[in-house]
Amino acid sequence: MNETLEFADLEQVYDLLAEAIDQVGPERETLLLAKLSLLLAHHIPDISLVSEAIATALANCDTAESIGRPGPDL
Amino acid sequence: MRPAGRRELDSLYFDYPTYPFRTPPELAGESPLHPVLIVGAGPIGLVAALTLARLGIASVVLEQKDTLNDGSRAICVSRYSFETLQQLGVVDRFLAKGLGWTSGRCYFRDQLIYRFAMPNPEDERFYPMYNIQQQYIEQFLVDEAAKYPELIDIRWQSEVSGVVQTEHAVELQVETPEGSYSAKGRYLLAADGARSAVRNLMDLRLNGKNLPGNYVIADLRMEHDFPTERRSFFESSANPQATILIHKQPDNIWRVDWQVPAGADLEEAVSEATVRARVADILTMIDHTGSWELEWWSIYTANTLCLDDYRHRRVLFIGDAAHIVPIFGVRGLNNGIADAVNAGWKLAYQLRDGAGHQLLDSYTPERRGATLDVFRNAGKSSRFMTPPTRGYVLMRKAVLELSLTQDFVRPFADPRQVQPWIYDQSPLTSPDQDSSDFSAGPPPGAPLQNIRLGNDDFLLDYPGRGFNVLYFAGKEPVDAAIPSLAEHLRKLDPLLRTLVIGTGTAVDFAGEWTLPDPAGHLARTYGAIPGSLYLVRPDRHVAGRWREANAVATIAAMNRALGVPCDE
Repeated sequence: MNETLEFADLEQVYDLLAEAIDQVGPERETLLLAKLSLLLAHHIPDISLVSEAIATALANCDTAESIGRPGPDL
Repeated sequence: MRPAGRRELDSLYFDYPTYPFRTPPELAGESPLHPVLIVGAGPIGLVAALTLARLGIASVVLEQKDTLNDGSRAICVSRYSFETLQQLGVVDRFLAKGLGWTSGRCYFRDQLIYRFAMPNPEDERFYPMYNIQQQYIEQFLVDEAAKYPELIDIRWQSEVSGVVQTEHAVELQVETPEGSYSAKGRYLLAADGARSAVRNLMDLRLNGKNLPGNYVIADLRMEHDFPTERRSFFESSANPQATILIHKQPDNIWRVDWQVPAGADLEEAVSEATVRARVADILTMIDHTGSWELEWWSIYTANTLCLDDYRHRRVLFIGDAAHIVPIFGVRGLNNGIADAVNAGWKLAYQLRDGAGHQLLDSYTPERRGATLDVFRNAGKSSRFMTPPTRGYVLMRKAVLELSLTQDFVRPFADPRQVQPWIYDQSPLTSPDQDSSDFSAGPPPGAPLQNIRLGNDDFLLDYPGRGFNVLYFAGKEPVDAAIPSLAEHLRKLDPLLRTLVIGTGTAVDFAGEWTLPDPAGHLARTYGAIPGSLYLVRPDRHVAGRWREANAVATIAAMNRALGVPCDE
């Protein structure tokens, strides 16, 4: 993708997501995020971009686990 | 708090002066009407007193204590505040003592994820930020105030116990070691901090939010080799549950802040043993192996609270007395200084009878506007530093983990440092007549932007104490209309100074200042052509500007900036 979201808009997304997660509660937040991922992927006409993003997200999760110092509450 | 065995003022590096009580005229049977009473001799009250004194207005400063503030509170002073200190004639000692800095580093799980750098162009005289302990700030300002014995009367050991407003004055009840008295002033500046006695006595309440999260703040002395930068740590090996901040201060003093875990026992969190253990873990993380001494510590919460109105007739609230802001982004002291200057110059002009009724009315919209902007920015920083809910905890974790490899999320870790507020919506500001008039330069409402004129020679070295006119002459002689315009403006403000900026040999006219701009850099940066004019308020903010100087419009803008309603 050549065009990306402005940082100020990304900040808004951050707040909107945080509030949505709080709204559905801990038991359904994973489902919310899975649905959201599918909705956003639907707007990306190139599957390689989506699978690359999934790989990036996974890779960071691996890094976190290998360090083995979980943060607060999660 | 100090370590066991040391008294409140037993500092490792600072000798606290004791200021004596002196019998005021009120206790000798006199009852003078002072132009301005100021409650609080902290940095904000002292900046207000100096601002008034520079404009020829006398004030009495009432302070409960007999010394400077104990421990170290505010430490970060912005470039904009340094420009104010320069204007007040006191900046040299701040420059000699303060540590200038431009950048910071953010770490996640001990890995560097973000470096921020604040702009520091060639045209600036001052660094974007300086670290200096609050007791030095107060000391330098008290010493400066002593140079105005006729205009600034600091009364130590004087506690305010009552406030009454009458039609023409404010009366304070003052308690002293020699008994109580009533002090009368035409105006009162309440600069008595977060727990303002004046605010409580007037039964006013701060409104807003107390944000979740407690922080412990500690100062230590150690020989530690690291540049003056802001360092922040998320989920560090020292304490995975706490966000940590480290700042360097003068005298080998280091400021360390850490978050207290949610639900922790606060009394235990501030016990000396816990504080020492936390500091030791943090020093291990940053590879400090040498010795260290604990100087002072305290606990704080982040709040976004302010008064609905910063002025109640003859009483103006400045600094923490008007608003309590989160520390992230260093806005408490810096915004308080801007409040003091704003209220100070307006009161001075009001007292000289040259001002319209809208001048003091503009104090709340201008400065409360700045506070609400602080709340927006500091609110964002606080939500990142101390996520208030599970949603924010999860989002921050996502951003921090992504930031190990992804650039686009790293700016979330930016501390969003204080920026000067622009009074573009102010009733005192005259907007550009045509948006295409200026392609560059500080717009109406913005502060003057500094320009390097030569070695150790800058634009902001030249403005006078009152209003200023920047007239751009280019290579031409000064337009014949300008001296008479200056003459007219000087009737509205006897302190007015005209700065003529010329690329050639601009013709002087009597009593004015000429700034050589041979390469035309100043004119270009200000979007000016020969004949352009900026009108600047005493607080360095642009009141109005014209691509081609227009005497009628300039005089109208000057009246407007003095709070005189324009009769169109």
